[in-house]
Amino acid sequence: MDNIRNFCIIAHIDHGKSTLADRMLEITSTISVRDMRDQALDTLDLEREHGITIKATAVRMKYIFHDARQYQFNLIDTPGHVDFSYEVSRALAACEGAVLLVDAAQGIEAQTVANIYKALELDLEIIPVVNKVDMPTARPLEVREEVADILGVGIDDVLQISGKTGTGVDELLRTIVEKIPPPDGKTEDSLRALVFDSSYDRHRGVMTYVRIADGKLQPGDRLYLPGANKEFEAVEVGIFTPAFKPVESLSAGEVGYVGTGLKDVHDCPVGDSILTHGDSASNALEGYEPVTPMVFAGIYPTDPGQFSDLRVALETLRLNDSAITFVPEESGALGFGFRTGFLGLLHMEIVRERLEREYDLNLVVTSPTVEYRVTTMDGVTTTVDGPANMPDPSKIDLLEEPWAKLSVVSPAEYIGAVMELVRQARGEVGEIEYLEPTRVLLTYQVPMGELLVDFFDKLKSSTRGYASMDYDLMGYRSAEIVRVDVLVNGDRVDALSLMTHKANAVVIARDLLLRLQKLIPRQLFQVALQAAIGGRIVARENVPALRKDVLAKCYGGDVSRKRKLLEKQKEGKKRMKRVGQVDIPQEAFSAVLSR
Amino acid sequence: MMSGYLDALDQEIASTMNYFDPRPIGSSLYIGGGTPTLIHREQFKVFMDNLHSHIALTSNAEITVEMNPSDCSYEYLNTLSSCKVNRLSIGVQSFSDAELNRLGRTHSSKLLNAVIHDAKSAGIESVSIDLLYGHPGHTMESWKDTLESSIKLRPDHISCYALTLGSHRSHMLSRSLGLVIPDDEMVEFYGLATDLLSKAGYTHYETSNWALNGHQSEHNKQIWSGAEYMAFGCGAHAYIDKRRYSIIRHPQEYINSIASKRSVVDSVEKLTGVDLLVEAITLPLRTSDGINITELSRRFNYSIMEEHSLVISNLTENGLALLEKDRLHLTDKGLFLADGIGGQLLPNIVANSKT
Ligand SMILES: Nc1nc2c(ncn2[C@@H]2O[C@H](COP(=O)(O)OP(=O)(O)OP(=O)(O)O)[C@@H](O)[C@H]2O)c(=O)[nH]1
Ligand SMILES: [Mg+2]
Repeated sequence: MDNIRNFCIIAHIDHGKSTLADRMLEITSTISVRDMRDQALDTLDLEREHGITIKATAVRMKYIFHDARQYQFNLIDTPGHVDFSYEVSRALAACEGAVLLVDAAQGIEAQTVANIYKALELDLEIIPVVNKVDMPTARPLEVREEVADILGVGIDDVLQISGKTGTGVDELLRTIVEKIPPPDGKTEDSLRALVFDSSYDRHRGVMTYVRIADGKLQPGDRLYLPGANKEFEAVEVGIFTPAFKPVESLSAGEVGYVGTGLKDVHDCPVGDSILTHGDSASNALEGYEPVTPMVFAGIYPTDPGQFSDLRVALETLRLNDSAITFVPEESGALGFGFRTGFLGLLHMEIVRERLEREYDLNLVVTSPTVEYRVTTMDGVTTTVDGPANMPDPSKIDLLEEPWAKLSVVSPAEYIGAVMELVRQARGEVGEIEYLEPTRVLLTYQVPMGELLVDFFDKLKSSTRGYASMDYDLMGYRSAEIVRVDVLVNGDRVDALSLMTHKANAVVIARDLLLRLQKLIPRQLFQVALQAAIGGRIVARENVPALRKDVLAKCYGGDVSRKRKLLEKQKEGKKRMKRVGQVDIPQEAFSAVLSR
Repeated sequence: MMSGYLDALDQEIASTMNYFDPRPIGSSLYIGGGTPTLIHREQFKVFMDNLHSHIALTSNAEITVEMNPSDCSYEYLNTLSSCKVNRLSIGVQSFSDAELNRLGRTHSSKLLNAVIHDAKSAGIESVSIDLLYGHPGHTMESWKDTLESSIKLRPDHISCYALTLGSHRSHMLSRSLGLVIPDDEMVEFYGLATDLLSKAGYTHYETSNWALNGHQSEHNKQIWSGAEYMAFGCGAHAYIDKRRYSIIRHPQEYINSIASKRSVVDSVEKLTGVDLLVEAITLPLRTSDGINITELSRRFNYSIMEEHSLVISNLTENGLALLEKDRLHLTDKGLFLADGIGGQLLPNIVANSKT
C-alpha cells in the first residue's frame, strides 16, 4: 500500500486542471499518444463544447519513481465551476492529498480560496502549484508569494509548471510521491469503502465509484449499504483507465468502481459506505451531506403531448445526475410540467440542453427561484420553491429566504464598486483581507436569490473582468418577498410570475417588462404587457402591432415558395407557446435571465 | 441562340399539347420574363403564329406581353397588336431618372408618356405599368412624384411592388449598411399608393395591384383563385392536376434537353389535401374578393369560422378584415399583412402535420 498515492487536482475554473491531467496521462503512458486529445478526461459532449469540466473524473496511472519503484496514482480531476463544487468535496474525501493549481497570470481567485478551505478541513496534504508559467502575462514570482502567504508555507514549497508545455510536471510527480502520504487502511480488516460518485449503466446497474478504506473487495461479494439500507452483490469490480476496466479485486487504499446491479441511484447515495453483508452499520465511514438543489424552475414541453416523454427523460437523467429533483406541477399557461431543482444556473442550463438534445424535447423553462421557507398563521412551516406554491400573503406569519456567504477576490481598486453591488443586492459588508498589496479577498453575506440572476455578470462588468466569486449556503433569514405577476392583454400568465424582495420589486417588474417587450415578436395585434404586485399594476409596456407581412409578388412560381414559407413559420411557432391570442417565445419565460 | 431557343420552345409546346385529348381551351395567355426584349419583331410574329396553331384560346382571351419601356417601339407595339396581344405590362419602376439610374434601368422617364400613348393607338386594350417602392434611398417625396406622374398618364392598371431583397444575406448586409427601409416605413409608402390611386379611381383588387374598371388582370386572378394553368419555357411554372411543375432554368440546358428528347421538368410537387387547403386560404386572402367561406367549407369541409372565430373577430375589430355575408376579405391595412393573417387562419393540423 506504500506505493499508492491518491490525489485530486483542485483549482479555480479554467486554471488548467484538465490540461495538467493530460500531461500526467502522457508521462505515465496511461493514454497512448495516438489516442491523446486536449482535456482527455472531459469526455461528455457538453464538457467539450463548453470547454469546462462538469463531472469529476478518476483515473489510475502507473508512475515509475527515480528509485525505479512503481507507484499507483489515483488521480481525480475536479470541476472548477461553483455549481459543481460539491464534486470537489466528494473527490477530496477519497484522497490523501490535493494538487492546488493557481493560474500564474490570474493569481488566487474565489474558488481557489474555497477549495483550500475544503482541503484543509479534511486535513489533506496540499501541494501548491503555480500553473501556466509559459504565458507572456504570467507573474510566477508574485503569485507564488501570494500562494505561500495564504497557505503559510515557504515560497520554495510552491512549484511552478506549465500544464500546456509540460515544464515542471516531472518535478510535480516526484513531489506527489514524496509529500502525499500513502493511504493508511488495513487490507486484513473487514471491508469499508466510501462511495464518492456514481453513474448508471444499463447492463451493470448503478456503478458506484469507491475508495476502499479497509479490507478487500471482489466480484461476487455480498455487500451492504448502511445508509440506504440496501444489500447487493458486486457484479463487477474495476479501475478507471479512465474507461471502466474490470480487475480481480480492490484493496485498502485503492480507488475504483463496483457494479451493483441496482436499478436506482437513490439506492446507493453518494457519501454512503459499502460494507460486507452482515457487518454492523456502526462500521460505516463518515460520509458527507447529500447535495440539495439551490435553484428551482418549471420545465414544460412546448408540445403538451411530450409530457410523459419529459418525465422519462428526467428519470433517466437523474440516474447519472442525482443532484436534480423534480415534482409534477401544472400551469394555466403551459399545462403540465415539472418543478425541477438544480445546483445553480449553469447546472440548469446543462440539464436543459441535455434534455433537449439527448431526448429530442422542446422545452420552456420558467424563471428560476430559490427555495423559501414559509410559516403560516397556523404554525406550519413549508418550503416554497415557485410562485405557484406561495400561500396567500395574508396567511403568512413568517417568510424566510436563504442567505449565502459570498467571497469575492478582486483587485483592490474595485473594492468600492463591489461594495456597491453587494449593497444593491441587500448584502451585508464583511471582511477585507489583502492577498497581495493590490488584491483583496472580500467576504459578505448576501441573500441567495440576489446572487442568482445577474450578480456575476454585474461583478464582471464593474471590475473589468478581474473579480471572481464563490458562494455557499449559510442559513435562512426572514424577508419580505412578493410575487410579481405579468398580465398579457389583461390576463395573468402564471408561468411568467416571479418572486423577489419587496424593496426591488418595482424595479424588477419594470425591467422584466422591457425584456419581455424585446423578446415577444410583433404580432398582428398590439400586445399589452402589465406587471402587477398584489393586484396593483406597477408597470406597463406594449409590443406594437406588426404592420407589414406580405410578399410583394405572388404569381406562378411564387405560390409554392410562399406556402413553404408559411409552413416554416408555423414550424418556428412550435418554439413558441400560444397564450390566448399571443405567441410567446420560450426564452420569454425565463426573461429575468436574458441579456 | 435565340432562334435555337424559340425552336426548342415551339417543340416543347407542340409535344406537351399533344398529350392532351381533347385539347384544353385557354382563357388567358401570359408571355413574360422579358423574352420579347430579346427577340426580333419578325421572330415574335412567327413564334406567335406557331403558338396559335398549337394552343386554342377563347375568343375574348386575355393575351399579355411583358415589356421593358425601351423596347416598346411603335412598330413592335403594332406587331403585338396584330398577333392579338391585347394587354401590355411595362416595367416602369419609377419616374425619377436618378432612381432609374440607381436601379440599373436604361429607359428615361420621358419615354414613358410616348409608350403608353403608342400602345393605345396601336390598339392594345389594356396597358399596365409596374412601379417599385422602398428601394434603398427612396423617399416619400419621390414616391409621391412617381405616383402622380403615373396617374397623369392614366394607364389602365398599376402594380406597386415593395422592394424584396433576394437572399437573406444580402438583406442582412444592406441592413447593416442602413440601406433597408424598415417595414414600419414601407407601410407609409404603401399607404400613399393606396390613397392616391383610389382617389384617382383605381380599384385596389390585390395587395400589389390596382386597376381601372374592366382592366384587372384576368390571368393573375386565375392564379389567386387556385385555377390550373400550363406553362412553357425556361424557368416557367405550371400547375396541372394538383401538381406544381417548374421547368429547367438554364436556357442551354433547356435547349439540349429538348434536342435530346429529355424532360425539361426541373421539379414536380404534388399538393396534398392540406397543401391545397393552405393555398385556398392564403391565395385569395391577397385579393379584395377574399375567401368565400361557404365555398371553402364545401370543398375542404373546413369551417374557418369555427376554427378561428377568435382570430377573425380580432381581425375585424382591429380593422384588418371585413366579414360580409360569406366573404372574409382584408382591408387595405390587412392586405399589407396578408401572409401573417393567412398564417393565423390555417387549420391547426398544419402546425402538427409537418415535423
Ligand atoms: N498558456 C497556457 N494555457 C493553459 C495551460 N493550462 C491550461 N491552459 C488553457 O486554459 C484553458 C482551461 O484549461 P482547462 O485544463 O480546461 O482548465 P480546467 O481548470 O480544467 O477548467 P474547469 O474544469 O472548467 O474548471 C484552456 O484553454 C487551456 O488550453 C498552460 O499551462 N499554459
Ligand atoms: Mg477541467
